Amino acid sequence: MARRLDAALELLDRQLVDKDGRLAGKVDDLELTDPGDGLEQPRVTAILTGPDALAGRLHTRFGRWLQEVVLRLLARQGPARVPLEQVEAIGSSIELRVAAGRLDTGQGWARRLIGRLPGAGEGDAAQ
Amino acid sequence: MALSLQLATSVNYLLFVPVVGLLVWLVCWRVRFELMDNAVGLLGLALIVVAVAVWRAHPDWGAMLHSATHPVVPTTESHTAYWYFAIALLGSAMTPYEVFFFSSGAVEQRWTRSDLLVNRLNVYIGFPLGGLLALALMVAAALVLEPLGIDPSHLSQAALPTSLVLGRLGLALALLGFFACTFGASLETALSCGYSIAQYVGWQWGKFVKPAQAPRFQLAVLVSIALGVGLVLTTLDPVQLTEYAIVLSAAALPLTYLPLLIVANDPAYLGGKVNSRLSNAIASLFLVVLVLASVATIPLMIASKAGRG
Repeated sequence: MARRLDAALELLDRQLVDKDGRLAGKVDDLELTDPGDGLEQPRVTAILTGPDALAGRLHTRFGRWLQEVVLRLLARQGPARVPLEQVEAIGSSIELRVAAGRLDTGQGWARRLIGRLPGAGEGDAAQ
Repeated sequence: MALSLQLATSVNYLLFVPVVGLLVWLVCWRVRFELMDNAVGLLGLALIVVAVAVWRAHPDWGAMLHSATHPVVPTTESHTAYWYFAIALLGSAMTPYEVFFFSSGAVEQRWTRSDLLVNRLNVYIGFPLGGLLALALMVAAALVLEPLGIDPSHLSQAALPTSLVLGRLGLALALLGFFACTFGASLETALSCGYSIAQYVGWQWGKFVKPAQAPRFQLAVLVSIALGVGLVLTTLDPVQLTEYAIVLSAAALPLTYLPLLIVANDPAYLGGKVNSRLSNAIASLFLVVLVLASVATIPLMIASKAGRG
């Protein structure tokens, strides 16, 4: 379903909420696809998220370097990508049809660290 | 807070700093938001004792009202120092991190439309009460300390008027109040660091989920407490540090105030509850005051040698 949006205003930097209501990062960058017929304007086909996507937005040599560093640190090929078909609703936040766990944006190491402290509640029922 | 403990026990505050840091972290880590918020708030009410002290000191109310409505810059102080401290007072009453704490608290406690009334009461009764207590502290200092020639530069001197007028019980209550307020402020600032960083980058945040589910938020809180403890342990004068912090936060106020004012007019966020014209008019007027204060802060700070000149 095509819909006209001001992508910079209504998509970029908005909060991502996963299908279970968890906060899953921000819309750090957008993937645009050019239909290639020279008539239509490029379309937003996916949301990119993660520090690497944000660094890539700087469009400078420093940004590219930063993106490279983040990719190495996270040991991945590119930013987490959510195809637009996986988007449930676009409002003050962007609701997704996928689970946050699938978009690993570098939470693993913090989780291992914090999870080790007593009362982190990995399994208990308390607050 | 460590200073309040020093006043109560006469043990050097630096020994208390790590203990208090640990306590702040434990509360951030384990205590439910609602309990934390209410307990600290109620204990803080002990500061009412300062207002009682002012009343029991039988001041000349008429003369006080006159001098409050006809402010003059004292001959011992320069104009720049006077205005510098005026901005410091503004910064102490309104700090940018309060916005993060208050709005995040609303999410933590799952406020809904029905909580608007409680909120209004909070704003119309709670805020003025806080202001009144701050005023009482200042009046008490002016009534008791100024004639004695004491220039309060330490927390113990802020408690002195209450203990002189009301004795030991008054002092105990004032210390309890100081402790609650500084403890509350530590919790607020530590959590606000976590809230603002996590919300900026979109991480899961909040005490409404288990710490393991918001690990980076908890890490941000922990690191901010550790940095705070480290900073105070450098034996920097904590009162001086607070003064600089509130002055600089006054300078930064328009940066949080303006976006909030814009969102308050955006039906996408607020539906039918957007600002009325009257609120916008008052808010815009206040924005002018804040911008003026913000622009004047740094020049005044330099010109008055941070209030010493």
